[in-house]
Amino acid sequence: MLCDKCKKNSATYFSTVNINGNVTETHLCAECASEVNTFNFNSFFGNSKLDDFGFDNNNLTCKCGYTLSDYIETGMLGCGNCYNTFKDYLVKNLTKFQYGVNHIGKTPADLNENTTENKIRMLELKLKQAVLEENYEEASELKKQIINLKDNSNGNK
Amino acid sequence: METNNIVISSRIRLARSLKNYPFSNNTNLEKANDVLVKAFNAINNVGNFNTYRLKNLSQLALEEMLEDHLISSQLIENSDISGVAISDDKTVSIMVNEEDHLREQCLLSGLDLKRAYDIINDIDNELNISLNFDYDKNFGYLTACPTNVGTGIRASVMMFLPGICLTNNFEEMVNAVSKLGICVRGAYGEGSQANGYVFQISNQFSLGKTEDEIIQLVESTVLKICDLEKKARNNLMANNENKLTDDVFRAYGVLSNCYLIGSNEACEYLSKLKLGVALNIINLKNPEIIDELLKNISACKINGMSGANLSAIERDKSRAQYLGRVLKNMRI
Repeated sequence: MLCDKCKKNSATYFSTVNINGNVTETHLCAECASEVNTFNFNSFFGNSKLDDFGFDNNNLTCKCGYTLSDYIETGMLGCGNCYNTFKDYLVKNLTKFQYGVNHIGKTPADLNENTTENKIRMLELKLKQAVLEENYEEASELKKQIINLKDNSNGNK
Repeated sequence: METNNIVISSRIRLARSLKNYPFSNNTNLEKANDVLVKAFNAINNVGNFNTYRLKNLSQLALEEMLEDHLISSQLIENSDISGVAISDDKTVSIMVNEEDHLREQCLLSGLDLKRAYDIINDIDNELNISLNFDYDKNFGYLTACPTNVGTGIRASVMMFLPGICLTNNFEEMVNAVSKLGICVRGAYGEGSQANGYVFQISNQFSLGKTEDEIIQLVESTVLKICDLEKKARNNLMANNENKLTDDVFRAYGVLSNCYLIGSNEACEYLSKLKLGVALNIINLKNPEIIDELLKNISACKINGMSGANLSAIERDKSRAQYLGRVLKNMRI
Protein backbone atom coordinates (compact mmCIF):
# COMPACT_ATOMS: atom_id res chain seq x y z
CA MET A 1 0.00 0.00 0.00
CA LEU A 2 1.30 3.45 -0.93
CA CYS A 3 1.75 6.33 1.50
CA ASP A 4 -1.34 8.60 1.55
CA LYS A 5 0.86 11.70 1.61
CA CYS A 6 3.77 11.29 -0.85
CA LYS A 7 2.10 8.49 -2.91
CA LYS A 8 5.60 7.10 -3.58
CA ASN A 9 6.88 4.96 -0.70
CA SER A 10 5.24 1.92 0.88
CA ALA A 11 3.09 2.83 3.88
CA THR A 12 4.38 1.34 7.12
CA TYR A 13 2.62 3.57 9.66
CA PHE A 14 -1.08 2.96 10.04
CA SER A 15 -3.35 4.91 12.34
CA THR A 16 -7.06 4.74 12.91
CA VAL A 17 -8.80 7.69 14.55
CA ASN A 18 -12.38 7.32 15.73
CA ILE A 19 -14.09 10.60 16.58
CA ASN A 20 -17.74 10.13 17.53
CA GLY A 21 -18.02 7.17 15.21
CA ASN A 22 -16.28 8.88 12.25
CA VAL A 23 -13.38 6.55 11.54
CA THR A 24 -10.40 7.96 9.62
CA GLU A 25 -7.59 5.66 8.54
CA THR A 26 -4.17 7.08 7.68
CA HIS A 27 -1.37 5.15 5.97
CA LEU A 28 2.04 6.85 5.85
CA CYS A 29 5.64 5.96 4.99
CA ALA A 30 8.31 6.49 7.66
CA GLU A 31 9.49 9.77 6.12
CA CYS A 32 6.05 11.37 5.91
CA ALA A 33 5.03 9.99 9.30
CA SER A 34 7.96 11.82 10.88
CA GLU A 35 6.87 15.08 9.21
CA VAL A 36 3.25 14.89 10.31
CA ASN A 37 2.73 17.10 13.33
CA THR A 38 0.38 14.91 15.35
CA PHE A 39 0.47 13.38 18.79
CA ASN A 40 3.33 10.89 18.77
CA PHE A 41 2.83 7.92 21.07
CA ASN A 42 6.51 6.94 20.96
CA SER A 43 7.85 10.39 21.78
CA PHE A 44 5.37 10.63 24.66
CA PHE A 45 7.11 7.64 26.24
CA GLY A 46 10.58 9.06 25.60
CA ASN A 47 13.04 6.49 24.21
CA SER A 48 10.94 3.41 24.77
CA LYS A 49 10.79 2.55 21.02
CA LEU A 50 7.45 0.87 21.55
CA ASP A 51 5.39 0.74 18.37
CA ASP A 52 1.63 0.74 18.23
CA PHE A 53 1.46 -3.03 18.93
CA GLY A 54 3.63 -2.72 22.00
CA PHE A 55 6.69 -4.52 20.60
CA ASP A 56 10.21 -3.66 21.70
CA ASN A 57 11.98 -3.17 18.36
CA ASN A 58 15.53 -3.31 19.66
CA ASN A 59 15.51 -6.94 20.76
CA LEU A 60 14.31 -8.47 17.51
CA THR A 61 17.02 -9.13 14.97
CA CYS A 62 16.91 -11.77 12.25
CA LYS A 63 19.98 -13.85 11.41
CA CYS A 64 20.22 -11.89 8.13
CA GLY A 65 20.89 -8.73 10.15
CA TYR A 66 17.49 -7.15 9.62
CA THR A 67 15.77 -5.73 12.68
CA LEU A 68 12.10 -5.16 13.35
CA SER A 69 12.91 -1.43 13.28
CA ASP A 70 14.22 -1.88 9.71
CA TYR A 71 10.89 -3.38 8.70
CA ILE A 72 8.88 -0.66 10.43
CA GLU A 73 11.05 2.03 8.78
CA THR A 74 11.14 0.63 5.24
CA GLY A 75 8.23 -1.83 4.91
CA MET A 76 10.71 -4.41 3.61
CA LEU A 77 12.07 -7.63 5.12
CA GLY A 78 15.65 -8.89 4.74
CA CYS A 79 15.12 -12.59 4.04
CA GLY A 80 12.55 -15.38 4.19
CA ASN A 81 13.52 -16.16 7.78
CA CYS A 82 12.42 -12.64 8.86
CA TYR A 83 8.83 -13.90 8.54
CA ASN A 84 9.56 -16.37 11.32
CA THR A 85 11.64 -13.98 13.45
CA PHE A 86 9.03 -11.19 13.33
CA LYS A 87 6.04 -13.54 13.12
CA ASP A 88 4.14 -12.16 16.12
CA TYR A 89 4.44 -8.59 14.86
CA LEU A 90 3.69 -9.51 11.23
CA VAL A 91 0.53 -11.45 12.07
CA LYS A 92 -0.91 -8.26 13.61
CA ASN A 93 0.57 -5.93 11.00
CA LEU A 94 -0.63 -7.97 7.98
CA THR A 95 -4.27 -7.54 8.96
CA LYS A 96 -3.86 -3.83 8.10
CA PHE A 97 -3.26 -4.47 4.41
CA GLN A 98 -3.99 -8.13 3.68
CA TYR A 99 -7.29 -10.00 3.52
CA GLY A 100 -6.15 -12.56 6.09
CA VAL A 101 -2.99 -13.87 7.71
CA ASN A 102 -3.11 -17.44 6.41
CA HIS A 103 -2.21 -18.53 2.90
CA ILE A 104 -4.94 -20.55 1.22
CA GLY A 105 -3.70 -20.44 -2.37
CA LYS A 106 -1.34 -22.50 -4.47
CA THR A 107 1.41 -24.46 -2.73
CA PRO A 108 4.59 -25.95 -4.21
CA ALA A 109 3.19 -29.27 -2.94
CA ASP A 110 0.40 -29.11 -5.55
CA LEU A 111 3.03 -30.09 -8.04
CA ASN A 112 4.02 -33.07 -5.93
CA GLU A 113 0.52 -34.54 -5.70
CA ASN A 114 0.84 -38.22 -6.32
CA THR A 115 -1.08 -38.44 -9.60
CA THR A 116 0.21 -40.27 -12.68
CA GLU A 117 -0.23 -37.12 -14.72
CA ASN A 118 1.98 -35.15 -12.32
CA LYS A 119 4.56 -37.92 -12.20
CA ILE A 120 4.79 -37.95 -16.01
CA ARG A 121 5.03 -34.16 -16.09
CA MET A 122 7.85 -34.13 -13.54
CA LEU A 123 9.73 -36.86 -15.37
CA GLU A 124 9.34 -35.05 -18.70
CA LEU A 125 10.78 -31.88 -17.17
CA LYS A 126 13.66 -33.83 -15.66
CA LEU A 127 14.23 -35.48 -19.05
CA LYS A 128 14.40 -32.08 -20.74
CA GLN A 129 16.95 -30.94 -18.20
CA ALA A 130 19.02 -34.14 -18.51
CA VAL A 131 19.17 -33.73 -22.31
CA LEU A 132 20.23 -30.09 -21.95
CA GLU A 133 22.98 -31.18 -19.55
CA GLU A 134 23.94 -33.91 -22.04
CA ASN A 135 23.38 -36.53 -19.34
CA TYR A 136 22.17 -39.16 -21.81
CA GLU A 137 22.31 -42.15 -19.46
CA GLU A 138 19.90 -40.49 -17.06
CA ALA A 139 17.79 -39.25 -19.99
CA SER A 140 17.42 -42.78 -21.32
CA GLU A 141 16.37 -44.07 -17.88
CA LEU A 142 13.83 -41.25 -17.52
CA LYS A 143 12.44 -41.96 -20.97
CA LYS A 144 11.83 -45.62 -20.02
CA GLN A 145 10.02 -44.55 -16.84
CA ILE A 146 7.80 -42.15 -18.81
CA ILE A 147 6.89 -44.83 -21.39
CA ASN A 148 6.06 -47.29 -18.57
CA LEU A 149 3.86 -44.79 -16.76
CA LYS A 150 2.05 -43.84 -19.98
CA ASP A 151 1.50 -47.52 -20.90
CA ASN A 152 0.12 -48.28 -17.42
CA SER A 153 -2.10 -45.24 -17.52
CA ASN A 154 -3.49 -46.21 -20.97
CA GLY A 155 -3.97 -49.78 -19.80
CA ASN A 156 -6.09 -48.58 -16.87
CA LYS A 157 -8.46 -46.62 -19.10
CA MET B 1 -19.90 -7.73 -21.87
CA GLU B 2 -18.21 -5.79 -24.66
CA THR B 3 -14.96 -4.40 -23.24
CA ASN B 4 -13.41 -3.18 -26.51
CA ASN B 5 -12.20 0.42 -26.43
CA ILE B 6 -12.07 0.28 -22.62
CA VAL B 7 -9.83 -2.65 -21.59
CA ILE B 8 -6.36 -2.47 -23.12
CA SER B 9 -4.49 -5.41 -21.61
CA SER B 10 -4.34 -7.94 -18.77
CA ARG B 11 -1.31 -8.90 -16.75
CA ILE B 12 -0.61 -11.54 -14.11
CA ARG B 13 2.55 -11.25 -12.05
CA LEU B 14 3.85 -13.84 -9.56
CA ALA B 15 6.51 -12.88 -7.01
CA ARG B 16 8.89 -15.65 -5.90
CA SER B 17 12.00 -15.84 -3.72
CA LEU B 18 14.71 -18.49 -3.61
CA LYS B 19 15.22 -20.28 -0.30
CA ASN B 20 18.44 -19.54 1.63
CA TYR B 21 19.18 -16.27 -0.17
CA PRO B 22 18.61 -12.81 1.33
CA PHE B 23 16.10 -10.61 -0.48
CA SER B 24 17.45 -8.21 -3.16
CA ASN B 25 17.34 -5.23 -0.77
CA ASN B 26 19.65 -7.03 1.68
CA THR B 27 22.03 -8.95 -0.59
CA ASN B 28 25.58 -8.64 -1.90
CA LEU B 29 26.98 -8.97 -5.44
CA GLU B 30 28.08 -12.58 -4.99
CA LYS B 31 24.76 -13.86 -3.66
CA ALA B 32 22.75 -11.80 -6.16
CA ASN B 33 24.87 -13.22 -8.97
CA ASP B 34 24.20 -16.75 -7.70
CA VAL B 35 20.46 -16.06 -7.82
CA LEU B 36 20.76 -14.66 -11.35
CA VAL B 37 22.73 -17.66 -12.65
CA LYS B 38 20.38 -20.19 -11.01
CA ALA B 39 17.31 -18.38 -12.31
CA PHE B 40 18.63 -18.04 -15.89
CA ASN B 41 19.60 -21.74 -15.96
CA ALA B 42 16.14 -22.76 -14.79
CA ILE B 43 14.44 -20.39 -17.25
CA ASN B 44 16.49 -21.70 -20.18
CA ASN B 45 15.34 -25.22 -19.32
CA VAL B 46 11.71 -24.17 -19.37
CA GLY B 47 11.38 -22.64 -22.81
CA ASN B 48 12.59 -20.23 -25.46
CA PHE B 49 13.56 -17.08 -23.66
CA ASN B 50 16.05 -14.35 -24.51
CA THR B 51 17.99 -13.55 -21.34
CA TYR B 52 19.70 -10.22 -20.66
CA ARG B 53 21.74 -8.80 -17.80
CA LEU B 54 20.55 -5.23 -17.41
CA LYS B 55 24.03 -3.79 -17.00
CA ASN B 56 24.81 -4.96 -20.57
CA LEU B 57 21.85 -3.16 -22.16
CA SER B 58 21.85 0.38 -23.60
CA GLN B 59 19.74 3.13 -22.07
CA LEU B 60 17.56 3.09 -25.18
CA ALA B 61 16.93 -0.67 -24.94
CA LEU B 62 16.05 -0.32 -21.25
CA GLU B 63 13.59 2.50 -21.92
CA GLU B 64 11.92 0.52 -24.71
CA MET B 65 11.53 -2.52 -22.45
CA LEU B 66 10.13 -0.32 -19.70
CA GLU B 67 7.57 1.23 -22.04
CA ASP B 68 6.58 -2.23 -23.28
CA HIS B 69 6.01 -3.23 -19.61
CA LEU B 70 8.60 -6.01 -19.93
CA ILE B 71 10.69 -4.61 -17.09
CA SER B 72 10.06 -2.22 -14.18
CA SER B 73 11.88 0.91 -13.06
CA GLN B 74 12.93 -1.02 -9.92
CA LEU B 75 14.71 -3.58 -12.11
CA ILE B 76 16.63 -0.73 -13.83
CA GLU B 77 17.54 0.69 -10.40
CA ASN B 78 19.01 -2.73 -9.53
CA SER B 79 20.83 -3.01 -12.88
CA ASP B 80 24.17 -4.04 -11.32
CA ILE B 81 22.55 -7.30 -10.14
CA SER B 82 19.39 -7.67 -12.23
CA GLY B 83 18.41 -9.50 -15.37
CA VAL B 84 15.37 -10.28 -17.47
CA ALA B 85 14.19 -13.21 -19.58
CA ILE B 86 11.72 -12.40 -22.34
CA SER B 87 9.75 -14.90 -24.42
CA ASP B 88 10.00 -14.69 -28.23
CA ASP B 89 6.46 -13.29 -28.55
CA LYS B 90 7.12 -10.86 -25.66
CA THR B 91 4.01 -11.99 -23.75
CA VAL B 92 6.06 -13.45 -20.88
CA SER B 93 8.90 -11.77 -19.03
CA ILE B 94 10.70 -12.94 -15.92
CA MET B 95 12.56 -10.27 -13.99
CA VAL B 96 15.40 -11.49 -11.78
CA ASN B 97 16.64 -9.59 -8.72
CA GLU B 98 13.90 -7.00 -8.84
CA GLU B 99 12.28 -6.34 -5.44
CA ASP B 100 11.91 -10.14 -5.27
CA HIS B 101 14.31 -12.70 -6.73
CA LEU B 102 11.80 -13.56 -9.43
CA ARG B 103 8.92 -11.57 -10.85
CA GLU B 104 7.25 -13.78 -13.44
CA GLN B 105 4.65 -12.05 -15.58
CA CYS B 106 2.38 -12.65 -18.56
CA LEU B 107 0.85 -9.74 -20.46
CA LEU B 108 -2.00 -10.33 -22.93
CA SER B 109 -4.18 -7.87 -24.81
CA GLY B 110 -7.85 -7.38 -23.83
CA LEU B 111 -9.52 -8.82 -20.72
CA ASP B 112 -7.82 -12.21 -20.46
CA LEU B 113 -6.62 -12.65 -16.87
CA LYS B 114 -7.44 -16.35 -16.60
CA ARG B 115 -5.44 -17.30 -19.69
CA ALA B 116 -2.56 -15.08 -18.53
CA TYR B 117 -2.60 -16.91 -15.18
CA ASP B 118 -2.66 -20.35 -16.84
CA ILE B 119 0.37 -19.43 -18.96
CA ILE B 120 2.46 -18.01 -16.10
CA ASN B 121 1.33 -20.71 -13.65
CA ASP B 122 2.63 -23.45 -15.99
CA ILE B 123 5.96 -21.65 -16.24
CA ASP B 124 6.04 -21.18 -12.45
CA ASN B 125 5.46 -24.93 -11.94
CA GLU B 126 8.25 -25.79 -14.32
CA LEU B 127 10.65 -23.32 -12.69
CA ASN B 128 9.80 -24.87 -9.33
CA ILE B 129 11.31 -28.17 -10.51
CA SER B 130 14.82 -26.74 -10.42
CA LEU B 131 14.37 -23.71 -8.16
CA ASN B 132 13.62 -24.05 -4.47
CA PHE B 133 11.04 -21.32 -3.80
CA ASP B 134 10.89 -19.87 -0.31
CA TYR B 135 7.53 -20.95 1.06
CA ASP B 136 5.93 -21.04 4.50
CA LYS B 137 2.82 -23.08 5.21
CA ASN B 138 1.17 -20.15 7.02
CA PHE B 139 2.43 -17.16 5.04
CA GLY B 140 2.64 -18.84 1.62
CA TYR B 141 5.24 -17.66 -0.91
CA LEU B 142 7.60 -15.32 0.94
CA THR B 143 8.37 -11.92 -0.60
CA ALA B 144 10.58 -8.96 0.33
CA CYS B 145 7.55 -6.77 0.97
CA PRO B 146 4.70 -8.38 2.93
CA THR B 147 2.18 -6.59 0.68
CA ASN B 148 2.95 -9.35 -1.88
CA VAL B 149 3.24 -12.36 0.44
CA GLY B 150 0.97 -15.42 0.15
CA THR B 151 0.03 -16.04 -3.43
CA GLY B 152 2.56 -13.45 -4.66
CA ILE B 153 0.00 -12.59 -7.31
CA ARG B 154 -0.81 -9.21 -8.80
CA ALA B 155 -3.61 -9.37 -11.36
CA SER B 156 -3.84 -6.07 -13.19
CA VAL B 157 -5.88 -4.75 -16.05
CA MET B 158 -5.00 -1.64 -18.03
CA MET B 159 -8.09 0.44 -18.77
CA PHE B 160 -8.83 3.52 -20.89
CA LEU B 161 -11.26 5.61 -18.82
CA PRO B 162 -11.84 9.04 -20.44
CA GLY B 163 -15.60 9.00 -19.76
CA ILE B 164 -15.21 8.51 -15.99
CA CYS B 165 -12.47 11.18 -15.88
CA LEU B 166 -14.25 13.79 -18.04
CA THR B 167 -17.50 13.42 -16.07
CA ASN B 168 -15.52 13.96 -12.81
CA ASN B 169 -16.45 10.52 -11.44
CA PHE B 170 -12.90 9.24 -11.11
CA GLU B 171 -12.36 9.88 -7.40
CA GLU B 172 -15.72 8.35 -6.50
CA MET B 173 -14.91 5.25 -8.54
CA VAL B 174 -11.48 4.87 -6.89
CA ASN B 175 -13.04 5.15 -3.42
CA ALA B 176 -15.71 2.59 -4.25
CA VAL B 177 -13.33 -0.03 -5.66
CA SER B 178 -10.75 0.46 -2.87
CA LYS B 179 -13.38 -0.83 -0.42
CA LEU B 180 -13.43 -4.07 -2.42
CA GLY B 181 -9.65 -4.46 -2.08
CA ILE B 182 -8.81 -3.03 -5.50
CA CYS B 183 -6.10 -0.43 -6.27
CA VAL B 184 -6.14 2.07 -9.11
CA ARG B 185 -2.72 3.24 -10.28
CA GLY B 186 -1.07 4.99 -13.22
CA ALA B 187 -0.21 2.96 -16.33
CA TYR B 188 3.29 2.03 -15.13
CA GLY B 189 2.27 0.70 -11.70
CA GLU B 190 3.02 1.91 -8.21
CA GLY B 191 3.88 5.61 -8.03
CA SER B 192 3.41 6.26 -11.75
CA GLN B 193 1.28 9.03 -13.19
CA ALA B 194 -1.90 8.47 -15.15
CA ASN B 195 -1.24 9.14 -18.81
CA GLY B 196 -3.92 9.67 -21.45
CA TYR B 197 -6.75 8.45 -19.18
CA VAL B 198 -5.03 5.05 -18.88
CA PHE B 199 -5.09 3.34 -15.47
CA GLN B 200 -4.07 0.03 -13.97
CA ILE B 201 -6.70 -1.78 -11.88
CA SER B 202 -5.26 -4.46 -9.59
CA ASN B 203 -5.76 -6.47 -6.41
CA GLN B 204 -4.57 -5.07 -3.10
CA PHE B 205 -4.57 -8.37 -1.19
CA SER B 206 -2.26 -11.27 -1.99
CA LEU B 207 -2.78 -13.22 1.25
CA GLY B 208 -5.96 -14.82 2.58
CA LYS B 209 -7.58 -15.48 -0.79
CA THR B 210 -6.80 -18.02 -3.51
CA GLU B 211 -5.38 -17.04 -6.90
CA ASP B 212 -8.73 -17.83 -8.54
CA GLU B 213 -10.64 -15.68 -6.05
CA ILE B 214 -8.25 -12.76 -6.60
CA ILE B 215 -8.53 -13.03 -10.39
CA GLN B 216 -12.30 -13.26 -10.11
CA LEU B 217 -12.41 -10.16 -7.89
CA VAL B 218 -10.30 -8.09 -10.30
CA GLU B 219 -12.23 -9.29 -13.34
CA SER B 220 -15.66 -8.60 -11.84
CA THR B 221 -14.51 -5.12 -10.72
CA VAL B 222 -13.15 -4.39 -14.20
CA LEU B 223 -16.52 -5.34 -15.70
CA LYS B 224 -18.28 -3.00 -13.27
CA ILE B 225 -15.87 -0.19 -14.20
CA CYS B 226 -16.52 -0.92 -17.91
CA ASP B 227 -20.22 -0.49 -17.24
CA LEU B 228 -19.59 2.84 -15.47
CA GLU B 229 -17.33 4.01 -18.29
CA LYS B 230 -19.97 3.22 -20.92
CA LYS B 231 -22.61 5.12 -18.96
CA ALA B 232 -20.23 8.07 -18.52
CA ARG B 233 -19.47 8.11 -22.28
CA ASN B 234 -23.20 8.05 -23.07
CA ASN B 235 -23.74 10.94 -20.64
CA LEU B 236 -20.93 12.89 -22.29
CA MET B 237 -22.54 12.40 -25.69
CA ALA B 238 -26.01 13.27 -24.41
CA ASN B 239 -24.94 16.46 -22.65
CA ASN B 240 -21.85 17.69 -24.50
CA GLU B 241 -22.01 16.23 -28.01
CA ASN B 242 -21.05 19.44 -29.83
CA LYS B 243 -18.15 20.24 -27.52
CA LEU B 244 -16.91 16.65 -27.59
CA THR B 245 -17.14 16.46 -31.39
CA ASP B 246 -15.21 19.71 -31.67
CA ASP B 247 -12.51 18.39 -29.28
CA VAL B 248 -12.13 15.19 -31.31
CA PHE B 249 -11.83 16.95 -34.68
CA ARG B 250 -9.45 19.53 -33.23
CA ALA B 251 -7.31 16.66 -31.91
CA TYR B 252 -7.30 15.04 -35.36
CA GLY B 253 -6.50 18.40 -36.95
CA VAL B 254 -3.53 19.10 -34.68
CA LEU B 255 -2.14 15.55 -34.89
CA SER B 256 -2.26 15.47 -38.70
CA ASN B 257 -1.01 19.01 -39.33
CA CYS B 258 1.28 20.20 -36.56
CA TYR B 259 4.96 20.93 -37.14
CA LEU B 260 6.21 20.33 -33.58
CA ILE B 261 4.57 18.27 -30.82
CA GLY B 262 5.72 17.00 -27.40
CA SER B 263 4.89 13.50 -26.16
CA ASN B 264 2.43 14.68 -23.47
CA GLU B 265 0.48 16.84 -25.89
CA ALA B 266 0.46 14.07 -28.49
CA CYS B 267 -0.76 11.61 -25.86
CA GLU B 268 -3.57 13.96 -24.84
CA TYR B 269 -4.78 14.45 -28.44
CA LEU B 270 -4.44 10.75 -29.31
CA SER B 271 -6.53 9.89 -26.24
CA LYS B 272 -9.25 12.30 -27.40
CA LEU B 273 -9.09 10.80 -30.88
CA LYS B 274 -9.40 7.32 -29.37
CA LEU B 275 -12.48 8.41 -27.45
CA GLY B 276 -13.89 9.94 -30.67
CA VAL B 277 -13.45 6.61 -32.47
CA ALA B 278 -15.08 4.71 -29.58
CA LEU B 279 -18.11 7.03 -29.73
CA ASN B 280 -18.32 6.95 -33.54
CA ILE B 281 -17.69 10.70 -33.71
CA ILE B 282 -14.91 10.09 -36.20
CA ASN B 283 -14.20 7.08 -38.41
CA LEU B 284 -10.68 5.98 -39.24
CA LYS B 285 -9.65 3.40 -41.83
CA ASN B 286 -7.58 1.60 -39.21
CA PRO B 287 -8.76 2.59 -35.70
CA GLU B 288 -6.27 0.24 -33.99
CA ILE B 289 -3.49 2.49 -35.26
CA ILE B 290 -4.14 4.89 -32.34
CA ASP B 291 -2.87 2.36 -29.77
CA GLU B 292 0.23 1.81 -31.87
CA LEU B 293 0.80 5.57 -32.14
CA LEU B 294 0.38 5.95 -28.37
CA LYS B 295 3.13 3.36 -27.89
CA ASN B 296 5.44 4.97 -30.45
CA ILE B 297 5.41 8.66 -29.51
CA SER B 298 7.72 8.49 -26.49
CA ALA B 299 11.14 10.15 -26.72
CA CYS B 300 13.01 6.85 -26.84
CA LYS B 301 10.76 5.33 -29.53
CA ILE B 302 11.12 8.46 -31.71
CA ASN B 303 14.90 8.35 -31.22
CA GLY B 304 14.85 4.64 -32.07
CA MET B 305 12.83 5.25 -35.25
CA SER B 306 15.19 7.96 -36.47
CA GLY B 307 18.24 5.91 -35.49
CA ALA B 308 19.82 8.92 -33.79
CA ASN B 309 19.86 10.66 -30.43
CA LEU B 310 17.81 13.73 -31.40
CA SER B 311 17.65 17.03 -29.52
CA ALA B 312 14.30 17.85 -27.86
CA ILE B 313 13.20 20.16 -30.68
CA GLU B 314 14.27 17.73 -33.42
CA ARG B 315 12.37 15.01 -31.63
CA ASP B 316 9.18 17.11 -31.47
CA LYS B 317 9.55 17.75 -35.21
CA SER B 318 10.17 14.08 -35.97
CA ARG B 319 7.17 13.08 -33.82
CA ALA B 320 4.92 15.59 -35.63
CA GLN B 321 6.09 14.29 -39.03
CA TYR B 322 5.44 10.69 -37.97
CA LEU B 323 1.93 11.44 -36.69
CA GLY B 324 1.10 13.52 -39.77
CA ARG B 325 2.35 10.79 -42.12
CA VAL B 326 0.25 8.09 -40.45
CA LEU B 327 -2.92 10.06 -39.75
CA LYS B 328 -3.29 12.42 -42.73
CA ASN B 329 -5.27 10.11 -45.03
CA MET B 330 -6.67 7.91 -42.29
CA ARG B 331 -10.11 9.56 -42.00
CA ILE B 332 -13.03 7.96 -43.80
